[in-house]
Amino acid sequence: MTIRGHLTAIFRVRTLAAALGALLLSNVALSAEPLRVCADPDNLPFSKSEGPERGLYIDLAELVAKKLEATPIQYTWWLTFNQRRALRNTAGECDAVFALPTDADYKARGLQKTPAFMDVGYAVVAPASFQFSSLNDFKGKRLAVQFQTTPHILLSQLEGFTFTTYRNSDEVFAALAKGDVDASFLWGPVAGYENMKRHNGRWKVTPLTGSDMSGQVSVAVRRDKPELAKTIEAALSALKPEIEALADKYGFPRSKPVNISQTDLGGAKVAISFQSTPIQAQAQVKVPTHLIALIQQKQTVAAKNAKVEKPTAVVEAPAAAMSEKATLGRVRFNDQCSHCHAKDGASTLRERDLRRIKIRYDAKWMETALTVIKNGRPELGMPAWKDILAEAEIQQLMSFLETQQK
Amino acid sequence: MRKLITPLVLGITMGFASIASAQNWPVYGGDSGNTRYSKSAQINAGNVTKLKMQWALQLGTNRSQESTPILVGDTLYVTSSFGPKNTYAVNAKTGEVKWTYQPDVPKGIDQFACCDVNNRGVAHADGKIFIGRLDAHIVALDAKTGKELWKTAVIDYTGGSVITSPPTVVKNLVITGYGGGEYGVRGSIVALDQATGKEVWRTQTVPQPGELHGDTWKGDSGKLGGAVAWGLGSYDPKLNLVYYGTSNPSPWTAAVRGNDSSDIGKFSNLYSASVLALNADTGKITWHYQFTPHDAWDYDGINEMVFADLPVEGKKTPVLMQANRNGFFYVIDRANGKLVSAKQYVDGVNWATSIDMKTGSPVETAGNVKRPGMKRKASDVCPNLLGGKNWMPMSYSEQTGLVYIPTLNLCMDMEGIQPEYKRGAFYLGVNFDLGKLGKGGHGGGVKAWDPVKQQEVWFNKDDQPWTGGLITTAGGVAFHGDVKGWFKALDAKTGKVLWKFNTGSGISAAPMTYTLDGKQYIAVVSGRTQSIPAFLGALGEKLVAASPEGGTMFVFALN
Repeated sequence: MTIRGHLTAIFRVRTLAAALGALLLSNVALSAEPLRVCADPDNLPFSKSEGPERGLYIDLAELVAKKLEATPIQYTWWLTFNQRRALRNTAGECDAVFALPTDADYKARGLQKTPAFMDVGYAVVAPASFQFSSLNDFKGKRLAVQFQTTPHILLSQLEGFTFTTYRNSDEVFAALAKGDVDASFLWGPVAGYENMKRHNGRWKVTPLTGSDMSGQVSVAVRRDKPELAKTIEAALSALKPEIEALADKYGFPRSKPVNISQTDLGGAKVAISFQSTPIQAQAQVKVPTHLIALIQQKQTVAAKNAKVEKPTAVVEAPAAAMSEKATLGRVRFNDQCSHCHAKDGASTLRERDLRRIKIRYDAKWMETALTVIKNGRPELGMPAWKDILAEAEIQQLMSFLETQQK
Repeated sequence: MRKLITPLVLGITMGFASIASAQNWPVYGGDSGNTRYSKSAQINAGNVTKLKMQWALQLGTNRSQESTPILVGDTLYVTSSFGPKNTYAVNAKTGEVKWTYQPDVPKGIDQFACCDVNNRGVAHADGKIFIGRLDAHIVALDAKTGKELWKTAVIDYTGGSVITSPPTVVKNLVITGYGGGEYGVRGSIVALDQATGKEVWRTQTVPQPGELHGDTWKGDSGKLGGAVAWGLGSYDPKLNLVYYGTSNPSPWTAAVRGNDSSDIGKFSNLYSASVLALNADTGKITWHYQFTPHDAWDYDGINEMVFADLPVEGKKTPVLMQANRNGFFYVIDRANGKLVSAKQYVDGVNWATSIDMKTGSPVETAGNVKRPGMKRKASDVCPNLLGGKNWMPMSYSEQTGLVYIPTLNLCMDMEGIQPEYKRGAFYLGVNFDLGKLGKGGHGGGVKAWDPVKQQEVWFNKDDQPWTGGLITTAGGVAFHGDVKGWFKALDAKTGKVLWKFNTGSGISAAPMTYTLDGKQYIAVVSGRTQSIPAFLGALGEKLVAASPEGGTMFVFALN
């Protein structure tokens, strides 16, 4: 059974009143301003700041922006290792966040959420031959769970299940491939995407519901822009077929979810009774004053950035060994970058000293430098250059930087 | 240097480690037993009012300074927060900078530091300065020049393991733990060769299935079981034992690691929330004592172990003392791990009524009412997860025989919940409200504690929490700072404030003292905590408002 075999199966996309949508869409031409979108720069299959695949959220944001005639989008990229921290750090910089848990308990300051546009949840990833219709069917099987996920906590509290804990999905896929486990519990969209991209659809990915296994996602829109929220809602409603197509594009599991509520467990000893609420509703670590702390941190950074650094030309003209490409890069660098990074990148501010990128990032320095040049570090005042410089020009800069590394 | 003879008080004598380093503060805790007691008495209760600032050093960062400087020869070594961003070697008389070390630490590292981008200082041995960095590297610098001699990655920091405390130097070794109990890291304590940085031994702090005590973890939960040793180590050269406290077990969700109730059965989750005594040469665990079995509160056990020789059944016994986060003050025979006594040292401790002297285990409040579980809220649990005392170090004065503890008076509501799906970050799996002041409405304060009688002698209440760490001296003075930025000298006998100085930013770091050319100096680093208030709701906002951010070392002397 393949993922694609379930194209027509249940994939719930929330519908809004079509009439409302049409009405609002006719108004959106009024807003000629760009749509400012916040998203994670490195979170496939959901979002990515560059590369051939941008992820479902970004593809969707582009489609929405098109409907709003608000292209091009202005992106603020922020890693969401900690989503709440990311939200605080980007507060005020986004018209819309793609995307957040729909659940009302997942509150995001200054943002309101559209109705859900998609269901997401955990999934069972297993060989195609693995059959199950309830939690009971996993008894006696060798199972894999990802550390501190809902399935991990659930199985920990039940008797009669044998499982191994892994830190990430890579380890889980490896255990499946080695035959160390019979089936695994992973976050559905990620598992589906990785299964499609890296495992040739080798595994069957079956979405789950019940026992806090699934939830929904929404676009979050600035609370002070209610008109925008309505137009985005309408756009999402109109984009229902496109969202389904994107879910397929990224391999999200689309078969009928299997309910694994513990009422199916029969005689099993249930340690605790779970409410059937979306998983995202659960994270409520309350750290309100972190906001204050982080704002102050940002102000410190801003103050630092406000200082005009005097370029200090300490590096002599590189020897003749420098290639033509690198020489061109050097000219461009000293023209466009040196007012912050000093001549030839030799800044006296350590964090802006571009002779130390290799020391700092080791084997990953070129990759890191390229990403930062293209996408910027908006929080530190570094602009994104990818829409300003051509790829060839960025490559010249890279050649030059290569000659400067200590 | 003036020789000082200290009278022996209460029949208590110094441990071996203290004597060797009475006046020059060569290590974070003053001596390898972390007593933070100095025999210098030039500055004393009679003349401390004449203390004057001599010079200051700007540390170059503006947040959460936690460093205690050390003195080697006539040079002070001090670190700033952020990595550390800066390590300075300065002339201890004038504050002139001799060299600066600025490590290249990857950007975005604060993703992995649960509880601020701090650093507590450096260690020294054999002409080398050793620093633990946020990117989980230990580096050795030439103490004279600041030149990096070697650099060793102890663990991959991107798994959430950062190093914030100075390592422990023992013979030819430099020993360290790391953080990450909030990120699903498995703890270990690692010894490197001082000369080369090569790993000599590594002791895992969480046994695996099949190993001794591996069955104290449910299923395979020990694999990512936390119990990291991110605080300060102590070392007893006579016993050749190194002592480290270990953190909370991981994940916070106790149900994953064992029973979700006070009836913990065999799932005590060793060696989390424990003290480990390791053979310095081999790293072998000689004994262990677990403070909080099957922790459900984040009662991290890392607070420093302080040495003393105390009378036990009429016999002078080398002990270690710890003011644990769980609200109990423990006295333990440091040769064999036998519990000597344990008593609540802060008011209102209610998660447990006492420590059973036979088993060494806490007697938890019945009915799981103070033990948070999955969707089982425990309300008004005292102390909260910041503890009766946090990392800010206490001091033991051989002169008064008392321990001076920077206490906290905070309670919490806590409940186990499902985690939010994230890509590998701060997994807590609990919902908590920490910003509750305990009984009496004060935030904390310095408590003078008799470790023999296990009772309070005096208590200086602070209206705000996060009282800074302490030192005591043979001059009968205790020094500490507070979150408002005041640096105070107290009469060690009565707690009376004899002198104070406004440093302009909150002080969490513990001071130190040294004597050069017959002149005694007191040094302290100021720079208000930034991350901790974020956990305290409205109370935290007051902490932030208490003083500006900062980053300065102040040095004082008479006249």
